[in-house]
Amino acid sequence: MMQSIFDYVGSYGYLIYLVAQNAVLALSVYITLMAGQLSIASIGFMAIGAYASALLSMNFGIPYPFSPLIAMLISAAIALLIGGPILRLKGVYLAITTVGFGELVRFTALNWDYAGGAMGLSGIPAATETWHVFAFLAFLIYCFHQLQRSRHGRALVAIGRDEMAARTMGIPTTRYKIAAFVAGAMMASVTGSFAAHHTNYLSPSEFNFSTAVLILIFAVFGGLRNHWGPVMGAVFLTMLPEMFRFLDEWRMIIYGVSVLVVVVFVPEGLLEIRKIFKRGKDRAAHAPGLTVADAGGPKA
Amino acid sequence: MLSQQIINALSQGAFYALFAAGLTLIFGVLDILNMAHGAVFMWGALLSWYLMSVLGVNFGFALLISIIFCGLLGLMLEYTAFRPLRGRSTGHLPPLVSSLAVSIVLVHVAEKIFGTRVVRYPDNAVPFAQYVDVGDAQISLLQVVLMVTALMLMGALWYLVARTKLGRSIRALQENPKVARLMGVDVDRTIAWMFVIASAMAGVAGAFLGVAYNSASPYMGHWVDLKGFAVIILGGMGSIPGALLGGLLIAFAEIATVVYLSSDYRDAAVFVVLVGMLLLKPSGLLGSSREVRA
Repeated sequence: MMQSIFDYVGSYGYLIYLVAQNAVLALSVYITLMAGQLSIASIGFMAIGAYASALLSMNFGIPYPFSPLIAMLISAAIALLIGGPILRLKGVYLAITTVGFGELVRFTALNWDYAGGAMGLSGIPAATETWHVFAFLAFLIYCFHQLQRSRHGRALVAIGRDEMAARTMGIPTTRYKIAAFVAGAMMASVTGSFAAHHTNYLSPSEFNFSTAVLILIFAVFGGLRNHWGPVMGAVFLTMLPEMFRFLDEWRMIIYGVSVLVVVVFVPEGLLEIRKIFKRGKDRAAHAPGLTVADAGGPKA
Repeated sequence: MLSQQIINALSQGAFYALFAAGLTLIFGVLDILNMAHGAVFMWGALLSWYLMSVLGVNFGFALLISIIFCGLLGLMLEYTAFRPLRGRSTGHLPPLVSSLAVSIVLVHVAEKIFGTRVVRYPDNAVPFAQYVDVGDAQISLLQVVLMVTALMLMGALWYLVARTKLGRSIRALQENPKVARLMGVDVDRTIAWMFVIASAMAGVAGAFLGVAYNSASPYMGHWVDLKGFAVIILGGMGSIPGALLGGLLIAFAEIATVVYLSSDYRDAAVFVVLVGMLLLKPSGLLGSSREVRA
């Protein structure tokens, strides 16, 4: 019995690691979505975190727990710097700009010889255990739990619902939006650093556009009502291709179809699937949290 | 040398414009970013490749089949990803994600059918392979045909939107969907036609790009999606002449980077131009000054 559990953890070890990593990434997108900002910049900050931490430990001899920490501060500084001008844009314009940011980070890594160029970096000191990511995820879930019921959490949701109204109510909207952006950048940066010290190898192609949008899919698929949605979405969608391993090449098609079916039938996300069975009842009565519609901003 | 680069930039720009026209039409009217546009484009390229190299069909016929097939894909896209969400006040995100899901399905079905490798066209299948000397530069007949086709299709699209009955419905929809419905516009039908037209144009762009670069693969859509977003933002979301202008500008920026800096920075240049444009004038060069800032 014990042996089979070890076998299971052994063969699925990396999958289990990925589940936690993707959940954190989904939360990093969720925090900006809470404030109504559709940012796909997580992948760029993940890359910055990964490269900064790897280079700090390889070339400057900075030991493990500190290299991700400094990398996180670097990411936060960059987010703070670009957050001001970028967050003046909204909706799809913001989304495309953040995609552009991610691509620029990737191009920089690709063309910068110091960072290994197209070959990537190898021989990064191994240090990250799977439990580190789970501990970080647990810490974040606790933080979100506290945030959701705090004044700041309500301010973010208010901005997400109607930015103009929130500003009229005296909420410093720009400050909150930038704070959410910086927080998301820090989370993504830490997952990047962890990944670098877990696989010991980095390549610019890991941080591409397809991965960036997958993170967004995790969050929306799970639902944006509270932080459990993105976490659940990431867990479910990370394991889905493995569950359908026996279907071979068909599994990614199944993956796409499942995302489509859930988004079309329950646009509020998997977390709200019970709503399907409650159609017709008063829906407005139990909708105090954030809905997908809020995050997308009011449609003209 | 310089004139050669200008010719290359013009034909590249024509291709970008052709691809982005459908994207900008959908976004301008429906406020939706169609993330599956690149996947439809990829099908246009791979299907025409299959018809030409495996079944030995000539380019014209392959192009025709690709156009019809991509038009149908557009209809499928509308029925699966967009129509079910319409009128449910769900915001920007669900249509974005549902079209992403369709694009995942399209890419992996293509993988299953055509394989994952990059395919090449048979030598004798590439049409208009002759070169014409223009001064000290060479221009291939294929580039000429691409530019003429792109200009004609963009013109036709502009005419369709500005002068026909369907175009009037499209413009009414852009103005105000609710009032358009009240005025007797068949909203669902109009939108379905828009997706058919946009996707058919993506199919044309795919078929041409495949033969022009002599390569096609299931993953060619991602790269082009990003370029398409840059083009429509630069030209102004929803503006068809803007797509043409944006396509040419992006192509010239790319070629200039390759000539004066290095081909390594080709893709980065696009995003530098894009981000600069967004920060200076987010509504684009020819866009209406809609609300794009908070």
